[in-house]
Amino acid sequence: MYTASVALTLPVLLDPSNPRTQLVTGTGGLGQGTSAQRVHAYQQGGEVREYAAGRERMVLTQSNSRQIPLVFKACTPAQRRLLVDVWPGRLLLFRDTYGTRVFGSYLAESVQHIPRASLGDVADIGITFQRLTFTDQV
Amino acid sequence: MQGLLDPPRQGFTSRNVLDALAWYPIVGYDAGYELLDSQDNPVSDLSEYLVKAGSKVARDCNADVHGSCVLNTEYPHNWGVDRVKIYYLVYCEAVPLGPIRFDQGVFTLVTPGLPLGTSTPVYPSTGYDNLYRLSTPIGDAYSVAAGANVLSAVRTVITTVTGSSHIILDGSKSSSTLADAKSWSAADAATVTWLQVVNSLLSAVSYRPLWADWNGYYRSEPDTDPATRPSEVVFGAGDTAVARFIDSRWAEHVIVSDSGRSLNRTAWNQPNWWRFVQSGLSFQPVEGAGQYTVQNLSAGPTSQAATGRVIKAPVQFLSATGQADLQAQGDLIAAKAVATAESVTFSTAPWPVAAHFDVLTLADPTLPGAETRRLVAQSWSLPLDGKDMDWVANVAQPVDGGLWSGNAAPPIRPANVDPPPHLGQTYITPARRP
Repeated sequence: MYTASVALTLPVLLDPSNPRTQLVTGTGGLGQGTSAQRVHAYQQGGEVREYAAGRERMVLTQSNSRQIPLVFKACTPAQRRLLVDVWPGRLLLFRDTYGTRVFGSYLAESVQHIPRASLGDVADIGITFQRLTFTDQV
Repeated sequence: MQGLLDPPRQGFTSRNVLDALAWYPIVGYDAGYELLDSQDNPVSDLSEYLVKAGSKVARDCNADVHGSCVLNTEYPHNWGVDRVKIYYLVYCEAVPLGPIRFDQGVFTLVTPGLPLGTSTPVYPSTGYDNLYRLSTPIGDAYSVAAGANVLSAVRTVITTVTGSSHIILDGSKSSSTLADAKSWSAADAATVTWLQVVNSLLSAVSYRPLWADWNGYYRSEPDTDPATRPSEVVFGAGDTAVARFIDSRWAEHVIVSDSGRSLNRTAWNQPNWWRFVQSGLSFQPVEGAGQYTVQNLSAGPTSQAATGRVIKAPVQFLSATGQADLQAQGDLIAAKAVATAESVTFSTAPWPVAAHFDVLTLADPTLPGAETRRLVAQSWSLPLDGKDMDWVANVAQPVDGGLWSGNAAPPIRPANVDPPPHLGQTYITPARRP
């Protein structure tokens, strides 16, 4: 039996159907930039509803969303195509050094080109990864 | 109205259910649905396919088929054949046993739509409750002989047409027989439905038209004057004597929406004179023998005294067993007509125990004339995405005076206003919280 262990140094986003296709946040393809921020935004669905006589009641829905903003620094053209043309709307897996495994996807991305000729055609790309209800249990 | 602890809620207490529906300050809502087999037993839970936004369950107690639903689902059903049971779930941290389930009825999904241009379509479908299964033309002549047991004849029709044995008929007229034969000719076969046949039979024993309950069971019971039926729940919408009397913490338990409440009056030629004639007589009817006339001389805003004129309803021929039955049926029809003069529209937090012709009391300090009205729910609509539900209810005992009549004097409390409900008749406030 062969056992492999993976030590993640930075959060990574990968295609679960082809785990070799992955991007490490923060570093980007050219290994430059800062570490990814560790911000996970949770949102319990619901509202405070007002009834007669001034009664206020909190009404919850079953939605409990989780969003993870990610920035990929100095992406190469190939990585940019992956993030902009291939991955939006595809099921992806987010992993980080704390053992987090979250399936999800994203629909929009912001691309900030870096105007430095020495780096070539590179850009910082930001997305908001949205958790989706999915497990890979068999 | 469903009982608070009707199945599948036997494991809870009334306090649990009331906490979840009205009392506790934080609550969560969810919904789901099950695919059923031919005997309405659950086959599989398809809740994961339900798109709750835009989905709803509704009831119009005066429609031919009372219950309906709009179900947005990703599941490709066998449309027109599949029957589903929709349920509503209420979560409350004060109820540690888990979500409380309220079944909403069995529906046949009959009118799906197929959205084009998407690889994962959501089918918006409309469904109808189990009365739908009886809403087919009889197709041929049909008759029930004189002397036949009425309720047995009803059961026979339901079981034969639908295959269902889930029938709950009140037993008070279990021995009543038809005085005259009932028959529907082949000429009527294309227009008369089995549901009309059943309802005609039920009316012969003064039973309410057939309805399908939250389990899909067929039900009927004696029809009664809504003004005499006890209130099943008090909805408080402000500081009233009734609210203070039955619940010292009423302000924490209000589930009536703050806006959108209205009291509506229908003043267009509301009859205050009715004549009923027994059908199938072999002699000329006269008043007291095959004929019965009712006049509303002074009750409510549509009375002859209030309107200053006599407005006659068309003569109605009733299938009655005798003069006493004719009068009972006539009184009931007249009472219901009086009760349709006023209606109230309002919204509440989801109240998923709502059922058929529920009797409610609305205690609202802004009501003109008196601060309470006893209501008979005519229709309601329960969204499955947790939004508040809408009600339309008739006022069982219209109250005259106050703002309605343009009377500038302070509102008066008429003699026929509801007394404070007995504690046992209320759901929201049957006991004071510690």
